[in-house]
Amino acid sequence: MLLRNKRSGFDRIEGWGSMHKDDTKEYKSPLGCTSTTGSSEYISYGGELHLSNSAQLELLLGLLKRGVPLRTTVRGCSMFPFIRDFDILIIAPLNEAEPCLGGIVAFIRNNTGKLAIHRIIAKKEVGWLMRGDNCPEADGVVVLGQIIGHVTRIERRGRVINFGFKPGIGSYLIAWLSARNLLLPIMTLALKLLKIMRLDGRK
Amino acid sequence: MRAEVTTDTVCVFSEDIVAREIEGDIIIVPLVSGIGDADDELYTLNETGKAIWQKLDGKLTLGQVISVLTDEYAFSDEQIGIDVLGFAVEMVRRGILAVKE
Repeated sequence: MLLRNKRSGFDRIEGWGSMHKDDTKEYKSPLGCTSTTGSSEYISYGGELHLSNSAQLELLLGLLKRGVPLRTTVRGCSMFPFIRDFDILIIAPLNEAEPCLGGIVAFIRNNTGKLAIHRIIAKKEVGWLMRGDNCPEADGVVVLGQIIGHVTRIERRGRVINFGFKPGIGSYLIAWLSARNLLLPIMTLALKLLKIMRLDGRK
Repeated sequence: MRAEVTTDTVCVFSEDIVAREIEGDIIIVPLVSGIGDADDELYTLNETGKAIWQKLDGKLTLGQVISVLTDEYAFSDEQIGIDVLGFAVEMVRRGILAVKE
């Protein structure tokens, strides 16, 4: 799963901030600095902001270092069905707590250094084994320093989702199945059965 | 009651935000009930806002910020002053900047 950041929809107005003295022969200021009222836009908000993975990581680290959780929309289906495309997550700092088996955490990948949000499926001697619930393979073992926060809340279409990420038997079972390559086949079967049951219910 | 913003005002970054310069953009996340809400509220500054923001060090008055920017950009202090004060008023109104007492 990756973060998606919202921001404004309107176009950025380039003002004198982009024009140093040496550059001014080539440009004219389109900004409100020439306006008689002084009312101009300096800031963008709402809408969508496309940040690179490393920028998302930096933003998340900035918040978590201050002990502040981040509430943000995520994109992707690597954690389907427990986290879905466009779900809203709250990612909180671990605050020296040890990551728990079955928990969903934000971490820095071994090979790429990129941000990912996956589940801890096993405790190993040197760290924790990570895997997306919908991924064919595990990500590998990461050490504590690579885990930067954990998911404490999932919101979907205005509802809070409580299953599958909080410490307890449910998330532990998911991790256990995932570590044994049983989660994907069981989920596939369960989703097919659910579809059949729904179709039967409509008849 | 909000403090008046003048050229004698010193503005500081609010404690209710987290701001980072990332890939050339100033990204500001307001804290809502102690949570950085990047879903409903996330701000970025345009180039003018960024230029002003980078001069705010919690020590310079807005008048001094105007002088510094006037030295750097080929616009009059009056033109730049309108933007600096306009920016400060907007940021204070949004709770992104606070007026230093």
